[in-house]
Amino acid sequence: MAHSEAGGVMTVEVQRYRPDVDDTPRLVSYEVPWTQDTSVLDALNYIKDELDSSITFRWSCRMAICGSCGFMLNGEPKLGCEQFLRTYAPGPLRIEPLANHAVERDLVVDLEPFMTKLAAVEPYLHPDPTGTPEPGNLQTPEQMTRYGQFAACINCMLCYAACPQVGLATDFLGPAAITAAVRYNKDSRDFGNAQRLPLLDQEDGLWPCTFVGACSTACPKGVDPAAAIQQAKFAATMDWATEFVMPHHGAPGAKDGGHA
Amino acid sequence: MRRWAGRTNEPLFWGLFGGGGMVSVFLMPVLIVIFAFLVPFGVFGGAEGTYETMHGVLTNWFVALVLFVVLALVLWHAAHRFFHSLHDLKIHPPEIVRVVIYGVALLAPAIGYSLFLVEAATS
Repeated sequence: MAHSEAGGVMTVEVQRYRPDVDDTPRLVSYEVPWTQDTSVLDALNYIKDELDSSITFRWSCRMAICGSCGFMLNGEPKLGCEQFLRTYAPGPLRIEPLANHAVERDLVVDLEPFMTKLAAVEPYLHPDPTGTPEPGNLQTPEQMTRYGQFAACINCMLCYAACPQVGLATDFLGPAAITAAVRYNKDSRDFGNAQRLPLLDQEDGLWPCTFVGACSTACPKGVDPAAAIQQAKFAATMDWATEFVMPHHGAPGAKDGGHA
Repeated sequence: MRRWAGRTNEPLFWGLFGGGGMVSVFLMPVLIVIFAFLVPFGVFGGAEGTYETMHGVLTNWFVALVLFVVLALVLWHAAHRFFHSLHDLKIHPPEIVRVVIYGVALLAPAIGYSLFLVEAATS
């Protein structure tokens, strides 16, 4: 048994769609030789090099850090480089483009909606308007721990493929973008909470989330977007309550230690 | 209250929902264990007279008010989750359904407490 699992030939079904030729997407089967260390990305490269050079997919680093090779593997969002054919033995393995995304060609999806959402939350440090303290932006380990795990996101969009709310509400800001906002909101060097709040606290901001938690299950980097969104909901609620009690409250995003 | 495109009252609705969730998760199991099992089975001594004692405590207007507020939070939690489950099931009913769902959560405890006050005043 163990011997037969160490390698062989597996049927790999890949969803093909070439908008200039095909009317609808279709599955095409390829026979791919594999051994113990053949990754799904290796299998796709084998197909492109040896069987059909027209197949199109994104990839770069082969080591789960660039976030390019996210696919649906037998219906689950995974990084192609991080999964091995042996896991799916004896096959067949079905590779499809990321769910909840528009397909441009074969396994390539449209990144533009996600990039727009990510850029919208201003995921970069907004410096202290009163000036950077000397000798610069130092942080204690405790201050870094507050946002550290949220900074591990590689923008692979597996959480968008996993989230049922992204499928239902297209304009939903989504797990990774909200997590990026929370990551900077929780950073002691950042003063951008007030700018990000109107993006988060609105109908299409963080409120479509119903805490399904599929994002955190899908994440290949151990980020917990569901927790980030819950913390952002709490922070938005606190800001709302503060403004309700003090209508002229000027800067609800100011760093006072209590905000997410 | 500042306004911007798409800003809703969802923080209020979600805040009450979150409060109800915390009450449901942390307080309710403790109350159930104490008052449904430990007290009736005599863990804190004889069970005689506990009904009268409990009745006396719970019919105090302030204790009853706290109890109704706690139960209202739990009911609000259920209503909020129910409404959002409709969205999950791709059911998008007219606005009146939303009003009814949250209305029940708001009015049921209020009417319940009012009836309690009337009952307490007349007995």
